[in-house]
Amino acid sequence: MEKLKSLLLLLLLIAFAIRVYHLDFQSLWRDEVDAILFAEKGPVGLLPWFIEPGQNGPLYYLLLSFWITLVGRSEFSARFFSLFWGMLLVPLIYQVGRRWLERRVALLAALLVGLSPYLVWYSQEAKMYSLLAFLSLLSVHFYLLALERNRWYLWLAYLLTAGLSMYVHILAVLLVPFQALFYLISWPHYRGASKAWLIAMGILVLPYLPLARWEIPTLLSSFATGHKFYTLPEIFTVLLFSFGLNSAPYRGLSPAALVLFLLLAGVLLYRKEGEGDVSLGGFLALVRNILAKHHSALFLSLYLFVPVSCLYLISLGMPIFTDRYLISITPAFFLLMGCGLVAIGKRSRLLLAICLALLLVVNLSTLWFQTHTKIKSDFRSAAEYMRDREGLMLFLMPYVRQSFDYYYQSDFLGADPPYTNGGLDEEGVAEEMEKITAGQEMVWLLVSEGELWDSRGLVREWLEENGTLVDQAEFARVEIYRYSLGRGH
Amino acid sequence: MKGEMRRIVGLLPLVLLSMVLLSLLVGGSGVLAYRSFQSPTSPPPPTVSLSPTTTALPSTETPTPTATETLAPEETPLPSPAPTLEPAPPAAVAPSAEESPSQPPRASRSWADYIEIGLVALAYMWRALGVLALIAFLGLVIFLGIRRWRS
Repeated sequence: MEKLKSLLLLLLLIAFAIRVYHLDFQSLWRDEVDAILFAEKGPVGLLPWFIEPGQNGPLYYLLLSFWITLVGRSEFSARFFSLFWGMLLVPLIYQVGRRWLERRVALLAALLVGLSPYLVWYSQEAKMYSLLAFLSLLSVHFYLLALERNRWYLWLAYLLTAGLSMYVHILAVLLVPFQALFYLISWPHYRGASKAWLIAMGILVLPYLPLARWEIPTLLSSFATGHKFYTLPEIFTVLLFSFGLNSAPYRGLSPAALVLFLLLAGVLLYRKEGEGDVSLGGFLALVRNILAKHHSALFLSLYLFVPVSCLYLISLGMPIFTDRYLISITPAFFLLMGCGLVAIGKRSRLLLAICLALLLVVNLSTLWFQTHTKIKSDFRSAAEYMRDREGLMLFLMPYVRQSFDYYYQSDFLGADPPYTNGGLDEEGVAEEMEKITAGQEMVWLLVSEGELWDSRGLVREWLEENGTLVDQAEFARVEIYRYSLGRGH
Repeated sequence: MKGEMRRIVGLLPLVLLSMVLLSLLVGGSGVLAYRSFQSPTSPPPPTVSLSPTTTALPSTETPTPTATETLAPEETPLPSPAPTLEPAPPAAVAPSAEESPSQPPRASRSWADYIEIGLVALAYMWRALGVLALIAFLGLVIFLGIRRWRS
């Protein structure tokens, strides 16, 4: 027991070390800067967000506002808040795995979570996703405890954590259909908790039903969200690569095949000790027998597939799929991989060792890559490059200006070039650009995700035609061009 | 060793299944090009003013964004149509042929409307205050627990 505790503590320390290492290596990208700016509104400014529809995570910003009041708004301090929750996920997944599966699965899942490049990435990002992963897993844990023991305080703990996770991100609600379906399928096992279950679901869901009257038609409408539509197999493939490999420099098929192999082994080969004690007799008993034999696999499969399927159904009307919106299902992903490793280990210790070694190599190399390669828009370097330089700065696209402001922290002459993706032609662009640059001799063009604003490159084209390129620099996802317009003062 | 090899060979069908399944999933769908980070694939609508009078002004302070101004294109929130807590105002109701245009049309509210208003209000109260209620309840549980422990 002492040995196990030491092992867990070691895992926790490793998880912390990996997450805190180069925590501020990546420059803050616009969503993170937004998060800090939102948090700076303070509790009073953020409270209306709890009743405004369309806000996907007001609670995180509220908590972050308290946090940055205490520790400041630097990259390190803002991201440390996420790191804290990301680190706590390691002991929590161990606890969940040990309680509902078995100790070996729990340990392996904790190891996988601790070294997961995907979860490390979101533990190093000033957004709500690591908190969401933690809270949603805690709610699942309390849900299972409440079903099994049927105590009022456990149901309340479930309602509390599930409710909070929905305030952290509205799409945490996707876990409710999974939980309901799991209960309905496993009903004979939890029949004693029927009444409490109905009350808990009522408290959780009923207040939202009136909102669903307009939310659902909106979700099923063709509202332009900016996301591409993905088919269900594509969504699963993206999740397999994202959760399994994240930013791996080599996103080839072999590592992904290994991850898929372990997931399949978890679903098809893993059986918790003691599962499958129901005797045969009649069709219903047969179904119960199958469910009992594969109860763990069924639980994890539903945990993994139901939220994804629900998101897909929403996306049919309004594409909203992004892998991180489904971060709440990563515990199921890693628990299933843990089950797969245990199932393989029962058959061949050699193969288990090979699989673990390969996973470690892939994860560690990916972690090294993502903590030593500039991946996010490098506005820190761009602002440093621009320091004390004169001239009008054009931001293509304008949304990134706040990221620049965060690092530049001085006055500058800035402007937004015309939005051309709505169909503005060359003449319209020329007219707008003449007005914007009137009286300016030097113009800087800062391009980051410019295709979202000017996919045809008309702004740059105008500058090329009407000026001379005299300087340029390139950073991760940020390009800087300096044009002399030859007007003189 | 022989037994070990036999058991590994026994797992080969699953290895093959994984590879076939992965090939089918990936094959030609282009998802390998999917970028996890800050890479929206279609444009956000412009929400800032393009008026030339506002463009070349020096930025004197860090802008405090509003939700609609700054929500990143990729971090698209769920849409926010303004739900009406109350029934549509009378002006929105088309006057019937019998009614004089100068007379305001009568807003006929059924019991269903009132029930709906109540339910929507309840939903918003939950949305607004639910989190505080949950936190307060947690505090109460802790308080009662401590009291019991002391006694």
